[in-house]
Parts: sequence; C-alpha cells; structure tokens
Amino acid sequence: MRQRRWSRVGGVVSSLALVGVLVTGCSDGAAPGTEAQAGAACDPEADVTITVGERPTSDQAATLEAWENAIAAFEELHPNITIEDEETKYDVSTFSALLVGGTLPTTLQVPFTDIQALIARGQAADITTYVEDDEVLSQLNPQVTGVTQNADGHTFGVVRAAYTMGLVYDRALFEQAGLDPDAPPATWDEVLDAAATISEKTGETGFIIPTTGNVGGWLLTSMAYSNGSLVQEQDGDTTTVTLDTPGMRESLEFLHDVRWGQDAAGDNFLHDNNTVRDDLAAGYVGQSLNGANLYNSVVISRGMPAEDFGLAPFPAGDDALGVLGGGNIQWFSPKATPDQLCAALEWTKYYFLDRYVDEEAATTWAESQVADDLPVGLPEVPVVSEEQYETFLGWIEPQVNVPRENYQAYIDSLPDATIVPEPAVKAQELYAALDPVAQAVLTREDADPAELLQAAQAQVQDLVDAG
Amino acid sequence: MRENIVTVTAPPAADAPPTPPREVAPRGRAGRRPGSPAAALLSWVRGGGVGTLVMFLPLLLTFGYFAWWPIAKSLILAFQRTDLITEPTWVGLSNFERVLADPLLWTALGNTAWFAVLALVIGFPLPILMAVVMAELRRTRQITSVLAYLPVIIPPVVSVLLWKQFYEPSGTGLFNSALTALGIEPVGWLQEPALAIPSIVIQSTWASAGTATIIYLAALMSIRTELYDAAEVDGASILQRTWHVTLPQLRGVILLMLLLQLIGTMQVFTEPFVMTGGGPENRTVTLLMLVYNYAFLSGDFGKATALSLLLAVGLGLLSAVYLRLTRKWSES
Repeated sequence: MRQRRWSRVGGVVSSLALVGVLVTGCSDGAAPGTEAQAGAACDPEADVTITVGERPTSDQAATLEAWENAIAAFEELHPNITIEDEETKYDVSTFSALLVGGTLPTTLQVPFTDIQALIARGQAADITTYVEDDEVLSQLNPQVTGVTQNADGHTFGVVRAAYTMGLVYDRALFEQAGLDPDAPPATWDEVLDAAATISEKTGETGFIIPTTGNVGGWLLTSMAYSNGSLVQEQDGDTTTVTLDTPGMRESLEFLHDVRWGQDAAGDNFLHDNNTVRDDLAAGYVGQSLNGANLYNSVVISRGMPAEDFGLAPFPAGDDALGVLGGGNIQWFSPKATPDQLCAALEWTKYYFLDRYVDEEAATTWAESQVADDLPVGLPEVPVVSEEQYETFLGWIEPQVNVPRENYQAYIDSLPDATIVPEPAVKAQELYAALDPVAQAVLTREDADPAELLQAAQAQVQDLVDAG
Repeated sequence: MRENIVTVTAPPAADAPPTPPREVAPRGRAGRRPGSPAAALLSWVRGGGVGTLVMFLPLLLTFGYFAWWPIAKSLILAFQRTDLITEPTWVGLSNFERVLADPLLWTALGNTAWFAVLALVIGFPLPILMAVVMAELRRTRQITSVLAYLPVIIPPVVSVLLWKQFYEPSGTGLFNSALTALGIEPVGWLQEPALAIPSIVIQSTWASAGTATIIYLAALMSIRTELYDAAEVDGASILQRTWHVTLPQLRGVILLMLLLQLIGTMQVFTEPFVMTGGGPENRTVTLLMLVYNYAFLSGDFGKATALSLLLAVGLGLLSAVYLRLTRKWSES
C-alpha cells in the first residue's frame, strides 16, 4: 500500500512541480517594477515602438482614415518611431488587470475623475522632465493642467481636452413649459423654479441627477463647491474630510426641495449615469447636472435632436468657490521606457494638440469629424492660451456643425471660470460614501442631512486615515 | 514491508517434490531500499505514470494556469499591499483588519444574508412545487418544461435589465401599470428600502427557477411508479402522495440543491449591481459588490482579496456544518 501511496504522492508532486515551472515560465519572470525611471533622459533619435489606444472603430470611416493618415504622416516625420494602434479604451474595471498583464497601450486617454487615483497608486508614468523641457506641453493652460499633478508638483499626464461641469437641459421641454431656453437658470433657486414649472406644465421630470456608481457623490461634491464648501482640507500630509459643511447641507436641501417641496424630481431616484442620459435624450428630463461634454453621449449616441440640447454654466450659490473640471487626459504607462514615453508624448502633441496650433491639422481634424457626423465646435475649456484658442476657432469655423448659440451662456462663463480640482485623496471612496446620502434625501422625506453627512464623513475619514 | 515483496510461485513439476516459494527482490538497482521515494518513483514510471501524466497534462495546465494559479495568487495578495506595478509589500493581517473595520461590511453581510434567506423562502420551494405539478400534468410536461426553462436561456444581464423595466417606478412600469389599473398608487419597487431586496429576489427566482425545476423533474421521473400506485391504492390524495412519496424520494437532490443555492445566493452580484447599484442607501450592497468596489473603484486589491478569502472560508465552514448536520438525514 505504501508503495502505491508513494507513487501517488510522487506523481502529484512532480505534476505540481511541472505546473509551477510552466506557470513561472509563462509569467515574465521579472518582478513588477517601473521601467521608466522618473527623470531618466530619453533619446529622441532612438528606434522605438509604441502602442496607442483609441483607434477609431470602423463605423467612423472618415475619422479612422484621418487617424491612419496621421499615423503614416507621423511615422514619416519621425522615422525612428513605429506606432502600433489598437481600439483599447480606458475602463476602470479592466485597467489594473491589463496594466499588470502588460497589455495596455503605451498611452491612453483617461478621464479627469480617475487620474489622481492612478497617480496615488503609482499607475501613471512621471513625465515631469519631458514636459518641462517641451515648448508646447509646458505652455498648456495651467487652469487645467493642475489635475495631472501630484502634491509635489510632478506631472503624470497631458490634458488634451477640458470642460467644466454644467447644467444640461432640454430646450424643447423648456419651451413647452413656457420657459425661455435662451435664458437658462443660473442659480439654484432658478433651477428649482424651472424644475417645478417643467414638472407642472409638461408632466416630465423637472430636475434629477444620477445617484449610483459614485456619480451622485461626484455631483454632490460639485454642488458643495458651488455652495462654498470643499470636501477635503489638506494640511501637509494630513487630510481632513469635510462633508458635514454648510455648502453640502445646502446642496442636499436643494435636492430635498426638488423632490419633496416641488415634487419635480420624477419617479426614479436610483438613476445611474446612463439612465439619466437615456431619459434626457428621450425628452423625459428637463434639467440635470453633468460634465459639459454630454453632447456626444446624448445627441450622437442616443439621438437627442441637436437643437434640443441645452448647456448652461453650473448653477452658482452665494459663496461659490468655483466649478469642478472634467476632461480627457493622455495617460502614459509606468511600464514604458523613457524613449517610449518621449515618443508617446510626441504623438500626443502631434495628434491631439497640434490642431490648436496648426491650421492644416485643425481643418483636417474638423473635416473628418464632419464627414462622420461628429460634432465640431463644442464648447470646451481651452487647453492652450485663450488667444490661440480663438485662432483655432477661426480655422474650424466653416466646419462648425453644432448650434453654439445654444450654449452661449456656458461659453461666456468659461473665461472667468475658476476650476476647482477633485478631492486629492480617496476621491472615489468619498463619492461612494455620498451616493447613499443623495439617495436618502430623494427617497426619505424625513432624511436628516446632518446625520447622514456626519456618518459619511466619519466613514471616509477612516478610509483616508487607513491609507 | 510485505506489500513490497513480489512472490512468484512456479508450478511444481509432476514428478518433482514441491519447492518452497522463492522470494524475489523488487526490481531496481541493487542497494535501493524498497519503499524509498526513489524506488517508488521508479516504480511509478515503470507502471506507466509518465503516460498518465502526459494524458493528464492538458487538464493540469488549463486548471493550473486559469484556476489554481489565480486562486493561489489571490491568497498571496490578501496578505500584501500592491499597486500591481511596484514590488508588493507584505502587510500581514492588515488587509483583513481594514475589511473588518469597514462599517459597510456589516451592512453588506446583512443584505447578503437577507437575500439568501428570502431566496430560500421564496425561491427554494417554488421549483419543487413546479416540478411536482409538471410531473402530474403528464400530457403537457414537455411544453411546461420548455416554458419553465425559457428564462434561463436569457442572458443574466438582459433579464435583469428587463426586470428593471418591469419595476419602473413611474406608472408606466409593467407592475405599476397593473397596480394603476386597479386604482393602486405606483410602488417604488427598487427604491423603497424595505422592498428593494425582495424585488431582486423575485427577479432572481424567475431567472433561475427553471434549472432547479428541470433537475427536480428529472429526479421525479426516476421515482418508481409502484410507490405512487401503492399510495393510490391506499387512498392517498395528491398532497399526501407528494408528502409521503415524492419529498422523501427527492431528499438527496433537495439537500444538494439547498447547499448549492446557499452558496450561490451568498455570492449574489449581477442583480443588485445592475438594478440598483447598491441603493437605496446601501440597502442592496452585497459582499461581492463590496469586493468589486474595493478592487475596481478603489484599486485596493489586497482588501478585495482579503474579503474574498473571508467569504470563501465562511462558505466553506457553512458547507461543512451543513453537510455535518444533514449527513444523517441524507443517509437515512
């Protein structure tokens, strides 16, 4: 019997050893680490291959052709750089796995909301040295580039498009309700009045925000900024979470008034970011809060008539600190070599930023957008200087295909807008803790904002303290 | 040691006196101790072990690479802090401490347990009942089987989204339309804290009852008809036949299905994730949603794997206790 047992044990051990050897052989063997040392010099002439994400899909024929032409032209301009492109896009649920698996592109677009978390986790390359030395990248609008930096002032991304949060509204519903769509609400009181009127006159939802997937917390944070309160205070290395503030309570009172005072918040209080967009595009929602880049999502993807899409500045409270910014940041892999980082930065400038400084690049981009029925002329916070941006608008004027007059109030607000960054520490956790607070005031008339905020504040503070 | 000695007995010649059995040393090099690992390995090789291993290898590699290695890796991650880029650091039980200190953990545990209990009360007896009825209705058994199984064919997320529309809180939702027609105010099925989990359980039961029904039906078909005939002769009603014949005969299957359901419901994720995102006020946040949030919203893989490990250990213990408690019943 013992011999048989030994045989079995021997078989299993040798099998496991074999699996172990093979598994080890399948992995890269090297300990995970950052290949690009922060500040290491790159050789701009070295032969290098980079992978870039967001290759346009084949249904966008003109944009895809422009993309491929741009790659060919770039490679001709930089014969030492080879670009391999793929359709990979940023997805929070797969990002880490792809990164550790080494299958993420060298460079990719990530949203404003996530870059600080990636920086904190060491999942973005430090490109400070290369940006400082670059004529174009070092001149970008400092109003928006701050979001790509950590507390030490190191840079971890390039802002390639920016906007602020805004009030998104349905111009058709405004007209039906007897409101002037060219004079959108500017304060919280005006938003409340408009919501009540829309709800009363049209039977549709006057105002609602998403409250799940951390979006409720994100929007409540924006509302608190506009009502004069930050959600975190920094003192050296110490972060104090400040959710139970007058600004946040005022924001919750506003939601409470819309829901229980005016009964203008509709029936669904567990919207996620997609369902609110669905309802907005379908003409069921009069007003909502979101990033000012919502046009693509509700008009292009969901078929809302372009003339019905209205965009106004984020409503301001009495002591507004400013408005939360949003946008697209070009991220660079921490696994990339210095030569790859420099090549990827060159590509970023060439494809995403040159249009602001080069007329031919601007018109080529605008023409391909128009050919694919994609928008040209949407309002945005300039990533270059005001003056340069005006020049860019002049170049693309013949191709502008969106009714910019419908966003006039928003456009007029941009030069004076103060962009307040997202919370620096544990932003997503903070938003997650605020989601149920927004849900509570919308679903329970007797919800106590102070109690809810104190609980959320303690919860997030514990998470911040735990590191 | 006698097990290791090969005994060969030669047939005695007709005219020769019987010879005593001759002991033959085990095959192998002189001096190797019989029973030693080396001898055993050699014996294993000679016994065709290599061939077996080669046949076994694809399975071993597939499971090893795609199942066991990730499991082992996640076990390690539970004791580390990592950003998946730089070298991970060992943090002992810190991840577990942070998980246990999260106030949301107890909310999620409570929600998950409430879901499991409701699924047991609402969802467990239903397939048995359906199978019994279908078995009785012999002429329509095929069509009812198909109808019962249809919801299972629908992809889970599609079915959840479909039910989300059914539960639409305005008067236009399927259920609220019916209520409105009866003059009853629309109900916030997924938005009322007290109704959210029961509503999800109903959807979940609808989506999964078909599989259990078919399994019970197959088990019912294997029950000998003589038992029913005898019961009928004794004047047993349908209810009595079900109670005294059907249920005892299904005992083994019921016990297994109960355990599988417990394990399945404690891992509920898709339904609350898609339907409510954990709301209202965290009333539908489940343990697996918490794992997801730790890993993918906070990027804290140490905490996520620590909670996963706690859940796995908890379910393992639950299963062991369950099997222990029901052993006697399942054997009798």
